[in-house]
Amino acid sequence: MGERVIFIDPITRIEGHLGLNAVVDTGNKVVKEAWAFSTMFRGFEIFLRGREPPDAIHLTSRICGVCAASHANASVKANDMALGAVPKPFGVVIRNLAWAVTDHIYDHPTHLNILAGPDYSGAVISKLTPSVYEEAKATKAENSDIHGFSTVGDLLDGLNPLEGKIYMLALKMQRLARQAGVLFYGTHPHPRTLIPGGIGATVTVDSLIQYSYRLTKLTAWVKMVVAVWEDIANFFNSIGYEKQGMTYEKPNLLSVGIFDDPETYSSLGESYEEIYGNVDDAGRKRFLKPGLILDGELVTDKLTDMNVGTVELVDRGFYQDWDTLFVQEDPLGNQVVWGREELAKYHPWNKTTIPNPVAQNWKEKYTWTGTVRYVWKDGRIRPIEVGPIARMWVQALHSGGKVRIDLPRTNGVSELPQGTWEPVTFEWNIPKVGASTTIERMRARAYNVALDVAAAWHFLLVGLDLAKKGSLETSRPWKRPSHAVGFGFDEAPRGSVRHWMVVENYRIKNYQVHAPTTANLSPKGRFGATGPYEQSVIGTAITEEVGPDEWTGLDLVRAIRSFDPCIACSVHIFVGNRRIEKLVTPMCTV
Amino acid sequence: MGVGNRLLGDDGVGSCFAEVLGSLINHEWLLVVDGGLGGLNLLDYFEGVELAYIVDAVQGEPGQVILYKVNPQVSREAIRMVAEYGSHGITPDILLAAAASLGYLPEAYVVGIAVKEVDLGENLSDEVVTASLKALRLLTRELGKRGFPMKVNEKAFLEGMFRCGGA
Repeated sequence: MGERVIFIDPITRIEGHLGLNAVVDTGNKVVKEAWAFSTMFRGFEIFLRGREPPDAIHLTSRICGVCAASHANASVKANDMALGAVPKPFGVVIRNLAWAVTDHIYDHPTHLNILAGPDYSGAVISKLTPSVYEEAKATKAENSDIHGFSTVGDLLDGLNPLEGKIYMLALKMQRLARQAGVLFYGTHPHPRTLIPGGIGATVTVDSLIQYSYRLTKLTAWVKMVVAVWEDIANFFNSIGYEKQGMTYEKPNLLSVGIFDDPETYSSLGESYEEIYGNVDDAGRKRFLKPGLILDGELVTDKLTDMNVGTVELVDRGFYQDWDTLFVQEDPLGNQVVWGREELAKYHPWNKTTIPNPVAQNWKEKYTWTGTVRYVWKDGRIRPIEVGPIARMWVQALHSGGKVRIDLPRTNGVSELPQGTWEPVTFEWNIPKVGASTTIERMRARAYNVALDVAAAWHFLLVGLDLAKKGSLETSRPWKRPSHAVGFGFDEAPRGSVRHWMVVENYRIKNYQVHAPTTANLSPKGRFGATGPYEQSVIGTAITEEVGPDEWTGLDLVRAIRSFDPCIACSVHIFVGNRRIEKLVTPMCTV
Repeated sequence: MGVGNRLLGDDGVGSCFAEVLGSLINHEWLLVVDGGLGGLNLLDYFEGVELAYIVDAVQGEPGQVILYKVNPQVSREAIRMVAEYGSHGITPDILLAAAASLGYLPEAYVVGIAVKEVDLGENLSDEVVTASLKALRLLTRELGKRGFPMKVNEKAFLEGMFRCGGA
């Protein structure tokens, strides 16, 4: 029995730059230990210091070129709170409508079918796992009345890059979502119109109708996406993939919820203290509910709890420790990190980014990400996993263990099979395996986008109603406080995106960003637990039907890609497939 | 359309080319796009387009400029490449093949500028900046032959390229 190290850097078809080092037991073909790492420093927290708070909306948007609006939305909410201004109801509606299409309805199908989909495509599996391909060819696709493919093998061929029908449709349909978003954001990928206390877009009934035309087509498309991925997920689970990529046997999941209720959010208050004091109510009224699940149990749905207990340490990251303490108590009087003094400086209001690049050492520092952990009132400290599966899971716990999604009739969408024209009711259930796995993360993402479509229709009707009444004002003026704190918690397609801000004399004193990947890619740390990416790879078995020397790490990249990773988008350094032979690609273009 | 990665030295020449050219001319019949590292996100630009020139970095004798017609065929190799490495590193042939699959069928050419250094850094080598003028002349000639006269102030173009290349 031996060991084989699989070193994959970069993991491609993701946004940004991520590497993986895994040790596989060649006897049972299972991963024993893994280190996932980010290879680039981002630095936004540093150059935001001293700027006016609204600048952060547009600067942090540049953190990602795929889900740019995600950071802009988290930042605008941190600004709303800190600068004491919330939008008028129609402004909340327009923010929701834009946000639903770009990024969510645009991003999820892109990830499923273009970025992660090729891992399941006929082109890949016929080469690496030919027996699985044969079995797929012989397996009937249960949802063929919706998507029109007869066998699972046909679906997998449909995911072949550049020629598969599903892949090509995904390329085509993502465009409609971008067009719909630009109606309100002005530009894509970076929204131009988000401002503290509102959205600077002139919206008319005509723009809402243009939106609905595109949403109709996207609704039909999303029905197809769910039908396709339900069949693919069931097939892979049936051939023994059920536990592959499992993170925690008792899940630790966070969703902060998404899509604010127009009336509730627009009446949160006029100062950071008021808004902070009311924000838990706004969270509970979101279209998708917030929740924190520790060891499999929902412990809170309060956004302020999710704020107070969050820490980020740098034991294993290329950063220096610090001693700053900007905030000891939140506006409700809670001590940060529940009064645990030794951890207070690691709360994001206090965390100070000081880069300290040193040589990579698996036993010490090996990544540019920090160790994100959640500290609960009872003393438990857990890594937290975020993403569509967290969102669906939390939503299900708020609604009797399942999520029901009704999508309307969508006649006449000529690009898509007629089966997608009928009204459909989808139901997502907490996975039988009771945990987050590679396949269940993919399935949850497909259902999540159906929920996003339902949200878009809901807010479109609310918006038309407000427009009919002539309530077309969107924004309120923001203030220039001499001291304030704020947080903006939202859900990016790939998971909770959270921004924290400390303001002094209307300048940013401290700013911290937790992209979804900050939590998911968090490395090991002093509390002993392993972050979600690494945990998903540990215990995963190699299913490639070739000898160890020819393993490509397909099952490992599937596990990682199922999270939809996002790291600082940067220069691509092409590296040999498994060895640590680094070379720069000669032609890194188009 | 100029494409390339400006953080990788000469690889960014196409991107600079588009930025500088776009700042100097404006014709009803012409759209100049700095495609950067857009990959498959650039597909939308081909809708309704009849003729496309893609300015890109290529391998060869540094400073050499080549012109070739894009063959928009999806090869097995292309599929495997995108399946394994993703769409950021795709070639113009693959991009145009994908465009063709979506029903956008421009006649397309690559104007290739052979690079000297492709390494981390934001500078263009002098050879490549000088070659970009050759590429501009080639493009002007090709468009002229097809009845699209384009007149660019060469001095301003070259200055722009040097500026973009960090000189």
